[in-house]
Amino acid sequence: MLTAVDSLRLQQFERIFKAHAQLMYRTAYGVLGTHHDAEDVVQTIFLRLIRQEFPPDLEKNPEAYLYRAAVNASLSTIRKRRREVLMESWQQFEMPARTESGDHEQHRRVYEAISQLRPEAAQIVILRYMHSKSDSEIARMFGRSRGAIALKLFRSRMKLRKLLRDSLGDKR
Amino acid sequence: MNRRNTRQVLDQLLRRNPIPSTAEMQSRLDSTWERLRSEIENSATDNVSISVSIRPHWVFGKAPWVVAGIVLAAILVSALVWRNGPPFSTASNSSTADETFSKLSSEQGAETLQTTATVDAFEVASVKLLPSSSEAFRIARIGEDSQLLWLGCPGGYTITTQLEPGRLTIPGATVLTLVMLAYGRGRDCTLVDGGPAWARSGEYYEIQALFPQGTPGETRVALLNGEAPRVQRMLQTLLADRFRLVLKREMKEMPVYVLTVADPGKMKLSPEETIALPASFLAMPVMPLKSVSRGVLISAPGTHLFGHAVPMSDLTKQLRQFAGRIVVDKTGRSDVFDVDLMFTPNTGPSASAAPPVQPQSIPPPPGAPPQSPALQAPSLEDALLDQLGLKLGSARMPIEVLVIERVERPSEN
Repeated sequence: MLTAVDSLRLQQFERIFKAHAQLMYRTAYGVLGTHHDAEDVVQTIFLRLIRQEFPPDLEKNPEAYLYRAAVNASLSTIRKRRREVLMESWQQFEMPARTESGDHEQHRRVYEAISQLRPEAAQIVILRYMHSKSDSEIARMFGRSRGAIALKLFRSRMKLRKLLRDSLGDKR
Repeated sequence: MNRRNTRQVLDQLLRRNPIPSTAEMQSRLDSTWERLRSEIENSATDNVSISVSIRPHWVFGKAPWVVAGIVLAAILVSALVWRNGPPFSTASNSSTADETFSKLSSEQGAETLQTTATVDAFEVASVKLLPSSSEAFRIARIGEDSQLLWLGCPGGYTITTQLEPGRLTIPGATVLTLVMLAYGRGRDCTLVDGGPAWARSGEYYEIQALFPQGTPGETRVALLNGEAPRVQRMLQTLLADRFRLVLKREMKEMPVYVLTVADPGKMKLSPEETIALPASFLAMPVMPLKSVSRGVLISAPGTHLFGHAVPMSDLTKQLRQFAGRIVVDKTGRSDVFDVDLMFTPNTGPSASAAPPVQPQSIPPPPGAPPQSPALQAPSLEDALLDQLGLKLGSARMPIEVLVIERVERPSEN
């Protein structure tokens, strides 16, 4: 039977989950492209929270904390997967049938490039382009000025342009 | 293409993201919440011990002086306690609280054991011998042959394993592979010895298993790395129940390679954030990268290892794939360095307890570079010495292995 403290904890988790899991899921799905992976990301993050004390950042701004956690976990999955594929490149033919359409391949390249940005830059890029948030909204979420966000976005775009030069058809 | 167009294309690329259907997302989130809820309920009584077990790890990693302080404090407290007699022994005013505490602790201990006993088995598990005409059999066979070629023994082909919330699927694995998965032996089949020939090679089982409700999720990567204790324990139970598996641990002297530094001047580290990949990698049609960032070590199939700012542990792990034996790091290096190593791997079956299996013809992986440069490349030992200043020496060392003492073909589902 749950004690009063445990019930409170359960309610606290339920409230946080119901309020923010959708944003986390949509983010992970947008990056990784499968329901299974998105579910895995959300579950992993909450399991970690259950097994430890609430981090102060989570209590301060749960949306920002959980969104960041979802982006970091999704990009980390991409990095691991890339390393797994490359390190086991001789086994690629054994991988489950992943017939990649042009779109899927393009999407994978884009997020591999995003995974090379600094975590905060990646989080900002995804908020802007996947969730169509304005500079002011992002600034509020990150506790930064609008100008700082705009500058970060500009720099990130420059870096992505370099990383995705081939995909963009940019010959310079 | 001008700057404005490039920007537009980039914006379009960044905006093109898959969007989950609301119904599917909601149903998955609902089931995720149900699993999390039971995890919270299960962990409700042992929150304190969990948070305590996490903190020391953080403390040990970050600040060694804190550890010294804790040790000193513990010594002082122990000294005081023993000077004043055993703790909580006589004070009547604290006895009630202490009794409650110890009662709770013992109840919790019993509960944990009981919980472990129930959770450590799958809810339902199906074990099926794959017919040799099936596609799954063919894939498992190819995987086994590649293990044999690269690692010198046939087990550990786990790449097709799927771990979804609530379900584990292993499309085709030998008993040897299942043991390696269950006991966290990674892909190194030399670490599991003994057993009849059918258990080590050529007989593949499909495992489909459902977890009991409330089992916390583990990721596939964690399972393959031997870091999913609950799923591993469930697999161990399945092996014991259905295959009547009996194992013992044994120290076995095995031939290994010992990696030492011969010429430290040859290990370099570029200060750049990323370094460009050499032409042999760029020639691979499936290569998604033009450069590698810090910490990444990649290999062109069997001929070339290339990495930027990698630790010795990563290199050692990779070398295992090409050396045919376990590689033990005795370099004493804890820093990172760049790797650009062209070599001919020590492929082919090495001396192992596994019965000889004739490898089938393995299709070359997509984008594999032509074989001729590999034939001209030096041996792995020479390449390491010339190109990285590292010496790969043969040695025999005691290594812990699992020995299959008894195993039977599985019972009917």
